[in-house]
Amino acid sequence: MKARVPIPSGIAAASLLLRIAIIIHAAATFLSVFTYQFTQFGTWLFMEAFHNLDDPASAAFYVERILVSIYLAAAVAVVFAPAWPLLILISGYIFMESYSGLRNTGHLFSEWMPAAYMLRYLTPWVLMVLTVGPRFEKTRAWTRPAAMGLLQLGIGGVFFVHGCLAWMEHPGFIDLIIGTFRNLFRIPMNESAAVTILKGIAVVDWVVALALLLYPNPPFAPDSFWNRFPKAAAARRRLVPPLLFWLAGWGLVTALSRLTGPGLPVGFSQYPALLTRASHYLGPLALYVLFILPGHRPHFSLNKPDSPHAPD
Amino acid sequence: MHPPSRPARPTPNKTPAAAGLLLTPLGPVLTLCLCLFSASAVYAQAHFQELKPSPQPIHVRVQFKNNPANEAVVSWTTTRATSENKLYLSTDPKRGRLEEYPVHFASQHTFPFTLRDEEKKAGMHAWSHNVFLNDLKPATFYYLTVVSDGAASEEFHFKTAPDDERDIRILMVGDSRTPRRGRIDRENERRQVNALMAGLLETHPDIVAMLHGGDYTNHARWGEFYWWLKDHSETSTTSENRLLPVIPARGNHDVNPELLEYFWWPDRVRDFYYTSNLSGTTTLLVLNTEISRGGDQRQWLEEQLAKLRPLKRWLLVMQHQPNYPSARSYEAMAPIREAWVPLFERYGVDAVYESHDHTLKRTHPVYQGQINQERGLIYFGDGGGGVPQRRAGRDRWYLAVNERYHHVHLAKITGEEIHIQAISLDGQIVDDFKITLDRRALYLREQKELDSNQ
Repeated sequence: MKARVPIPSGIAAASLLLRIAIIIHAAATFLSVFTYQFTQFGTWLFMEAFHNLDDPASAAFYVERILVSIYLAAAVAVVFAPAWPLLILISGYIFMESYSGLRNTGHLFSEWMPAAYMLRYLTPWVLMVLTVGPRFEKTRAWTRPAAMGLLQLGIGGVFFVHGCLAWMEHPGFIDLIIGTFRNLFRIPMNESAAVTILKGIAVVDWVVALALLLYPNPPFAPDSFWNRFPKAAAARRRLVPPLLFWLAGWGLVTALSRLTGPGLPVGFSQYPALLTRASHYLGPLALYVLFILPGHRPHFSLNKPDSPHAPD
Repeated sequence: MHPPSRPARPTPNKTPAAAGLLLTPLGPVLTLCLCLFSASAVYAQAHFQELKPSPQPIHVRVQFKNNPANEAVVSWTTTRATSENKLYLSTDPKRGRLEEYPVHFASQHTFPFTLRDEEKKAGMHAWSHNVFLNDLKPATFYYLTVVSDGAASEEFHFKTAPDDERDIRILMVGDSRTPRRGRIDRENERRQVNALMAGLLETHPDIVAMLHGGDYTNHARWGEFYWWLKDHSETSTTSENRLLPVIPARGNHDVNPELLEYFWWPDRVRDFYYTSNLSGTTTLLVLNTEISRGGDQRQWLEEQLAKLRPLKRWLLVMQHQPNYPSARSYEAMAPIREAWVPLFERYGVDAVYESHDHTLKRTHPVYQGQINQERGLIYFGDGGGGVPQRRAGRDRWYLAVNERYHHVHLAKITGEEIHIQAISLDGQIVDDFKITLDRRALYLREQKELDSNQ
C-alpha cells in the first residue's frame, strides 16, 4: 500500500483559501454572465467570432453561458479535488477573459487588463503548486517558496498595476472615491481632491508592492534567505503580518468600493464586481498563512528562521 | 530528531473520475476558442492597406461644436505631405472655379496622423488639414473646394444651423464600428446607415447635423478610422455633394488620444463634453461617459443646466453609455445613472440620446426610478449605426421599445414638440414618438414657488 504524504498545515490552509477564491470568482463570473453584464470574452465572441451569424449576440450568449457553466463546474470540482488539468483550464479561462479585454479595447486602460488580472489567473497555478508539490520528494522542499513566490508576484503585480492606473488618474477610480465619500460619509468631494487622494493611493500601492518583493522572501528564494541577515530576519517577523494584512484589507476595501461608489441600494448584479476580486483579499491571506503557520515537518517550519528546525 | 507527526490528510494523487468527465467537453471547447482567437488575429490584418501617396484631398468633412450657426471646422486628408493647403469658400456655388471664390483660407492645422507600427509598415501614411471657420452666417449654405499642392477636390457644400426659432431636424446615430472583417466591405452596415442618412438629408434639407453618440470604430486608431472617414465621406454625402456635419460624442471604444486628431477643433478645452446650440430654441449637451462622471463634469453639467434651462425651450442630452440600458444589466449602469439622472430630473432635460447597447431602444417616461407619464424623461437610441445588433426583446420595466434594427433617429424640433422617428435600413419607421411637455415653463414655475416660499 502506498504511503500517504503528510501536508503541512500552512499549505493546507493556503490551499483552502485559494480554493475558496477560485469558487467565488467562478460563481461571480457565472452570475455576471447570467445577469447580462457583458463580459470581455462574450463581447469578443459577439463582435468578432460570431458576427457573420444571423444573430451573433444570441450565439455569443449561448456559447458563453455553456462555457461559464463548465467553468463553474470545474471550480466546484477543484474545491474537493484540485486536479491540475482543471486548474490549468480555469487559469486559461480567466486569462482569456483578460486577453479579450485587451483585444476589445472597450474602456480606458483596457490594454492593462491582462496585467490587472494577474493574480486572478495566477491563483490556480499557486493552488497547483500547493497540490502537486508535496507529492514528490524532489519538489517538496520547493513547494512553499514556489507558491509564496507566485503569490508575491501576483499580489505585487496587481498592486503595482493598480498603483499605475491610480497615478494615471483612472476615471473609474476617481468616481469610486467621490461616490464612496458621498454615499458612506456624506462628504461631498470635488475631482481635484479625489485625484490627490488617488495619487497618494498610487504611492502606497507601489511601496507595498515593492515591500512584497523583499518580504517574506524575495520571490522563489529559498526559505533560508533571511537567515543570513539576523537583524532583518527579526524585523521580518514583525513587518510581514501587518504588510500582508494591509494587502488583504486594502484588497477588500477596493473590491467593496465597487458597491459603495455607485450608491445605495446595491443591486443584485453589482455583487460580482466585489466577488470577482476574491483573490485580491484572499490571496494575501493565503500568503500570510503560508508564512505564519508552522509545517509539521521540520523543513516547512519557516516562522522561526533561526530555529533549529530551519533548513540549512 | 524530528518532532512527531500529526495524523496527515491524504493527498489526492489521481485526477478523479469527475474531473475527467468535466475535461471531456471542456478541452475541445477551449481548443475551439483558441483557434477562433488565432483566426481573428489573422483577420485583424485585413484593414491595413497601403495608401498611394497623393496630394488629392479625400475625406472632406465638416464638424460642428458649440455654435453651429457661426462656427465649423472643415477637414480633409491627403496621403502625402503637402505644403500648400487651402479652403476656397463661397455662399454661391462656383463649381470648383477657384478664381471665383471670394475668400480662401490656409489650413490652420496640418499634421500627420499618428500611426501605429503596423500601420506604418502597411504604408498608411496620411496628413490631416483643418480650417476653423467662424463668423459664418446662420442658416446659410456654404460652398467649398479644398486644394492641396494644386490638387483640388470637387465642390461640396454644407448649411449652418439657424439661430432663430424656426423648425429644425437632426439625425442621431451611434455605434458605427464594424467588425474587423466587414470594415472594408463596400456593403457593410455602416455604409448602409450612412446612405440612409444621405437620403434623409436630401429629403429634409432642414437637417442641421448628424449627432454621433460615439464608438466610431473598435479602436480610435488610423488603421480603422481611415475606413470610418472614407465611409462617412463617400456615403453620408448626398448625390449633390452636400456634406452632413458631425457633432461627435466620445464612446468607450474612442478612448485613444488619436480621436482628437480625427475630430480636431481649435482649443478643445474639455475632454469631449460641451454644449451645442442647434438653434435659437434648442441646446444639446454632449457628455463624456468615459471620464469621471461625478467630478468636474458633473459640476459643469449642473452649471450648464442651471444657466440654460430658463433660456431654452428644448434641452437635449447625448451620451454614449446609457443610463437605462436595453441589453446590459440595469444595475451595472448605476454609476452613470447616479451621477447624472438626478440633475436631468431636477432641471428638466427633455430627452436623452444614448448608445452602447446595440439595439433600438426607447424607455417609457421615467422619473425618480419609476414610470411617470406626466413628468417622465425618455431615454432612447442605443446605437444602431453599423455595429452588429444584439438580441432584442428583453423585458425591462422601463423599456417601451427594444428591437433589433440597424437604424438612425430623425428628430423634428418645433416650438411645440419634438417628433422623433427611428428609421431602419429599409426605410421603415420602426419607432415614432413625441415629446411635448414644456419643462422650461414647469421649471420656472417651480423656481418661482420655491422663491416665494423662501
